[in-house]
Amino acid sequence: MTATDAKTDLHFYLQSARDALLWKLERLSEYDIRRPLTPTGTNLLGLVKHTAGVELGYLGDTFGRPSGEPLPWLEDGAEVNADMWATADESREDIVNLYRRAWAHADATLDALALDVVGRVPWWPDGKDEVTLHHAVVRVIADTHRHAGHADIVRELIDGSVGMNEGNGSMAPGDSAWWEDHRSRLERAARDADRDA
Amino acid sequence: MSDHQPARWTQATVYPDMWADPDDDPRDSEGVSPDGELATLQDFLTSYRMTLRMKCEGLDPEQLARRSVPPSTMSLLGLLRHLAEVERDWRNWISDGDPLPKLYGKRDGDFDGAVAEQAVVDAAYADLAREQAATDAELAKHPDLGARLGKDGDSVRGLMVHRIEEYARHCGHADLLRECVDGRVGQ
Repeated sequence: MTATDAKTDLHFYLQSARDALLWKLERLSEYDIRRPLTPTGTNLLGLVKHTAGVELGYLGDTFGRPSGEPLPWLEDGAEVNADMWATADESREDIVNLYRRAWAHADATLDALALDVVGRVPWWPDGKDEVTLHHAVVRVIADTHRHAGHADIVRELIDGSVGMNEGNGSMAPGDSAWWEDHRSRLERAARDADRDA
Repeated sequence: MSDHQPARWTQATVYPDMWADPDDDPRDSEGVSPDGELATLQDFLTSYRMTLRMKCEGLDPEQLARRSVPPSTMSLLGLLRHLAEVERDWRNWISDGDPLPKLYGKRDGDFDGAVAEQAVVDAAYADLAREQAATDAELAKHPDLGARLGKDGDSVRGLMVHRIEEYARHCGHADLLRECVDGRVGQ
């Protein structure tokens, strides 16, 4: 029986959730990562934008470690749902880089503080707003996965590709092209065989 | 997606992004989290298990079995069956013995066999509850969260976090499946 480091385990799962969400964007056009694909407008880049704010909130501000990142879409008076989609001038690079900076900020919080340190979630009701860092990390892991679940369905609507994360045995994005090539090759072979018979 | 989308609605009035109002919500979604690492992990697991069931509430077998977001072959009933299968498989992770046989047969049998019959729905709920209880009982034998179990040597803590993320990911699927069945949304 070997003791394991709780922070190392939590960070592993946190990073795998983040990677799964970003992986859902790979090889898609600017249009496809923004297309609203459910009645409520769910779209891949918006999920990343939203999740960046979740990390910076729960694993930054909550523990007195504001990131200083401007997040105008979360400020008072911002349009409803403004954090769930990217405007045409917000590039994929802008949003993805923001998300990566949010990871670094959250990781620094996780490194700096003990898991039982108590913080206050600024947007929760007074008196019911205390959380431990452990609780906040598990919340972000779960929340990121829930949004990755949305991304799973949206991505499948876009190009039919599915999978939990890169290399998990399920079909990877881009594989649909491979299968299409493969199918065409078999089709050609079948036709050739027919012609030669 | 079909051409006829149901209108979006939620039962919640206090926090409109939620599934239900705090007084009607069995999950302790706000407030002070329980003390201690294990209690916190169990609280999250319980909450996401409830969320999955709540996403299935008030639907008939046809709605539960509907593949509401094609081309995905997932349905809410398929998710209930899948989680029953997954809970069962987690006991294989932590045991050194022969693997338990699958509940619904071949790969994807959980989703493929999710048909619109009341008996299948009843069985799915019963299977899920039974498998959850069995896995909980097995893990309760290992109070040390750092203990490494099974052939792959996963820590108890790691398995607990994995269980939460597995439910959370599927709750994300359930969110959109339900939205496309009858328009009901919310966390």
